[in-house]
Amino acid sequence: MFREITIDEPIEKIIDDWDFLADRVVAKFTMFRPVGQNIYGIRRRSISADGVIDPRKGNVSGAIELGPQGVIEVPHHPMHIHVTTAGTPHRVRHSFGYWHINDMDEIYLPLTNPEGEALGHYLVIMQTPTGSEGDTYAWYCEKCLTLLFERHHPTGELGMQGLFKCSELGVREYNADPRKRTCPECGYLNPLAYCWNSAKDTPEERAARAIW
Amino acid sequence: MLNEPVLNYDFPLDTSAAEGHWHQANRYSLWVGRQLKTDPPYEVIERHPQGAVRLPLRPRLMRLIPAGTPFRVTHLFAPYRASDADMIYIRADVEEGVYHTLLAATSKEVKEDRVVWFCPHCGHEMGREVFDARTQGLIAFWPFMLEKLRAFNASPERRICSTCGKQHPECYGFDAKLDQPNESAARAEW
Repeated sequence: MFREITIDEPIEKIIDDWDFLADRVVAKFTMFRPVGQNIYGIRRRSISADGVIDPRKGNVSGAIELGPQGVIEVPHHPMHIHVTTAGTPHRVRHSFGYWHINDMDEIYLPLTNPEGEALGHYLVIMQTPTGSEGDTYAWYCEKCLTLLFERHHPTGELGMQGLFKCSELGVREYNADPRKRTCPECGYLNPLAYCWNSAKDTPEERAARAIW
Repeated sequence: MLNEPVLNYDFPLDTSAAEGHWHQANRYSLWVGRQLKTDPPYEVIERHPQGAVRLPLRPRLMRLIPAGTPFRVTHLFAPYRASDADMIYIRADVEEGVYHTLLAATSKEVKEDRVVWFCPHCGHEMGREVFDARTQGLIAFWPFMLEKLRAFNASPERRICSTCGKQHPECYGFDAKLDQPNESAARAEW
């Protein structure tokens, strides 16, 4: 068999952080990190036929999207690639208590636990926004889907800086005012919102995370 | 709650691998392959200023191949591809085999894709062809590459390295189903 001549030096000496899933590197992606043309998030979660279990948030298998026909279930199955297209409001139950509307496509790929390991790799990949592209956090009436409240972050202009702060401020603003959570069309009162980062939960938000 | 997905972009790795072709999901294009653990392994080789770098066969890895970096995958395609798009390669060794996933997205930055021949003996660049990815997308690159590599295979003069004088092996396209006998033999070889 013909073998192309390659250099003998360890790859680590040529390319920094060449494998995003390496133990030494993966921790850099626990939040979201832009590298080149994409933004990457890698979560260590238990991923098996039983679902996707986050060590802090619990079962986060239930993902939903909001389209022209209403709310649909798009569970993130192990060993499935799911693409949430740009502009589609989406939410992962118990993971973030708002609808995220990304101007860029998002890819999810839950890789099952490697043999002998308790946690697999839950990959989130999205394109890096530029110019006027950004992220919106929104809340729709849980009963009739009327838009109640939203906050936008111009990620293409400001980068990831302030992205989580924007969602946090949006959550707090929304939770602080029952009028923002009350549907002007049907009068339904939405549950409290919560942030993506569960470490920031207030006791009330922690309770909300357990519910929806 | 309704049952119909918004834009049914769900790709189980096993069925996608069985289909074998590239998929377009809005701006992303993606491909999934599955090998038996006993198959000659797909290995990513990248060209860097220091030379050709072979990615180790870790049971699980995710590699961002930065835009502009020539790369190829042994037994999957040869010669090299150098795209304006970042290419993401994911390898997952599981009980039923080894999954290989390639992902890339179009964007305003993505204008060209290139087929590049490097001498596998001395690393000298032996030629390149440029593809208009901006108007034709990322998946249409593969038929372009096949056409160009067949012209290369058919030209004994082009296959001789002007630096070291050695002959470049024959090349093969992405889709093994389209292989001619010489391409199939080359695919098995390197």
